[in-house]
Amino acid sequence: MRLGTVIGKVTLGISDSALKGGRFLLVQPLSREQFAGAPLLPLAKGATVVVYDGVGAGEGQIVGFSEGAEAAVPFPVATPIDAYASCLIDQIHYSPP
Amino acid sequence: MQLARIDGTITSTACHPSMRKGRTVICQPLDLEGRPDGAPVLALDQLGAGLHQMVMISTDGSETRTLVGDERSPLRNYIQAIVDERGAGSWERGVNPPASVPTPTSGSKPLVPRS
Repeated sequence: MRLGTVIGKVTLGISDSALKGGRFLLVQPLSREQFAGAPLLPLAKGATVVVYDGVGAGEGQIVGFSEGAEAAVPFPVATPIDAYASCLIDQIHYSPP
Repeated sequence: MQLARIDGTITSTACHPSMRKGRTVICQPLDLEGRPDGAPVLALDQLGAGLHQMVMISTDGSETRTLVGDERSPLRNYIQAIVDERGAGSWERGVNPPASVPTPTSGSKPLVPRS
């Protein structure tokens, strides 16, 4: 599971029926400096991920999202999703040695 | 399974129910010499590993789902073991390897001399 900042939303036009009613977030993964408390803007480099919103996150909040096969597991029916926001972060305590 | 070092924790009230079964810690995967390798990941900790301790995390979701006991859990990283000593050389818990870390080819001299 990785951490990322919610920077936007994605609304789907024509999509797979399993994705109906889903809420999709644009998430930019955090860099290690941002883990340690650096400001979230400018955004870290790296690919922006479209994440299925499982926790109701708003813009500017930090979410933990899991990727790959584990992202499709929470759904009762087979769903073509490979990034799932599973937690909304309140505090990050990060102190590497 | 992967060696990692605990670098911190996160708190989260709105999260998947399977994450309430343990503490969510920030793990920094390590390479052979014990240097950070890649971005930090979040893992579920039920063993109570301390800060800067070296742990072994699972990187497979199906294993984590059985350990957590929730077939709908999106978790992948789970702390399976707290490492006391690594085979390649002895590394004291919480002590950084010296700057000149020997490359594996230079014999298995202990990274940190045992006191």
